[in-house]
Amino acid sequence: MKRRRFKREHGFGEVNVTPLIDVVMCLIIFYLMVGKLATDRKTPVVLPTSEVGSEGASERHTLIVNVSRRSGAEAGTGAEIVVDGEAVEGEESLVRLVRMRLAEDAALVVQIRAEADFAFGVVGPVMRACTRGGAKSVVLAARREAEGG
Amino acid sequence: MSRRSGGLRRRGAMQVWEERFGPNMTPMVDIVLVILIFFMAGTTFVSREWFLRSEAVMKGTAAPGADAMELPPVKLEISLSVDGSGGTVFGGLSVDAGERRPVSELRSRIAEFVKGTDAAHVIVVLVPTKEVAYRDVVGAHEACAAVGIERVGVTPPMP
Repeated sequence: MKRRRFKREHGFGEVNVTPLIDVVMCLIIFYLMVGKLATDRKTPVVLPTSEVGSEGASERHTLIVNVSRRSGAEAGTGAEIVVDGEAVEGEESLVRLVRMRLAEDAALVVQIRAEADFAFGVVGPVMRACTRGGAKSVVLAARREAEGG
Repeated sequence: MSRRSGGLRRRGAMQVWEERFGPNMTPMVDIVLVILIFFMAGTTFVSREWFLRSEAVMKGTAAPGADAMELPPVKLEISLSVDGSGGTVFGGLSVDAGERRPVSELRSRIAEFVKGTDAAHVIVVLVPTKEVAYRDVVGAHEACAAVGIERVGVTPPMP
């Protein structure tokens, strides 16, 4: 009786590189994401919505000014200005900061990310400080809203 | 009774292997995991924000080098304030200077205003009061951008 032999063509005895590729790929993506999150200079802010607008400029040439709510404060109250993860106290400090950063990088774009709930009396002085610091224009960040939605 | 029936049946090596281990799930799990991470990373990188450019409002003369024969741009000042019911209203787009309309009508009114004119030659200056919600200021800015007005400025409140 002819006996069938179990051949090596089924892959036994070869080095299986699939798990290696899997782990290496996961590590690459993990470090990419961590690197991206580590350089994220945005604080969590509930932005106003907009159906139109333009794409953002490169973050390298952008000064992000966050006007966010202090932790524990109620909606529309308790604003704090955060630039690059550090709180900025007072309008004059912000004016100096914007002036200094514009002196370092003339192509700098000032981006304001403010809570939708805030009154303009809170966000307006931030815009004024940026203008006094030498910014020719500021960019207002808004959450994308689908057309008609 | 045949010897080949039941548990005494002779089986091939491949059949034994498949019965013991089942199909190889590793490549499928691999691909699914990579696709999952790809979409997670994709949603992190894709921007979900729009940016509205607001020019600094400054008083002064025309920029040096401007063509003297060219018509000056149409400057439109829109005031934003809060009415008695707490809603935001706008003024400045009608003959009657005192007329105030709900901010929800702003887009259609601006569209009417710029009809027949080149929107690129229109400058809008928004003058909100301190009480106006920031979202309505952005909404007014959005209304201008929607009809093609690129030059929009917001006047900050006086200290």
